[in-house]
Amino acid sequence: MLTFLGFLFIFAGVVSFMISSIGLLRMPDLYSRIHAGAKSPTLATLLVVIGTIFLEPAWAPKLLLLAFFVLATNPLSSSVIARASHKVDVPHLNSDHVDELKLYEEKKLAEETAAREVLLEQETVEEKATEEENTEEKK
Amino acid sequence: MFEIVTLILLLAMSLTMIRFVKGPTLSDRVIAFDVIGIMAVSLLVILSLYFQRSIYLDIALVLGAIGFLGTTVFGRYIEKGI
Repeated sequence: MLTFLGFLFIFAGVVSFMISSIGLLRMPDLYSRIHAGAKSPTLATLLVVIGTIFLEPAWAPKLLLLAFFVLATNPLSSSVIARASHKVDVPHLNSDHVDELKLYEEKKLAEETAAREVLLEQETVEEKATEEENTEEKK
Repeated sequence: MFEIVTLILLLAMSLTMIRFVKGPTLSDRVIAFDVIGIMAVSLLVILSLYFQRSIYLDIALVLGAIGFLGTTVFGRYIEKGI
């Protein structure tokens, strides 16, 4: 029974890998490909690990550690890639729709440049004041 | 049974390899590379069952813990350049 359950889980995991690779091939744009390449491989690795625990219960600690690592690092890397490719303007399917992350970043950039200009103006005012003081001292 | 499972996994790996070769942008290739790495971890787990050696699990563990670093560095490269 345990052997059957183990093989069932491993088979389900491998089929999930297959679905993921078909999704990577057939999805229309980068972001949906990231969706196909991030979620189902994590699920598939977890299924394979659970099946292996059913087949070899003595290896459970190592396998659980492996499952923890995969669960922690997999979404992180795909999120980093998605953010980076959004920043360098990789086009997506609905490129003409509202892009709220882009709007937010542009707003933030504008605020930062405004703050920097205010700082620069203050500095120039202070420099002028010190120059005037110097000239008065020379007189 | 192990043979069937390994063959399906290798087929999935080669389908992902098509995206790795074809991908229009760099990000597609990085994603395909990442998925191939995760598949390699699972393949090592299945191989450790097939050969009954738990030493392969250590390799899978290290690959799972360190493999994501490459993808993260690629993300940084896409964002800011070298």
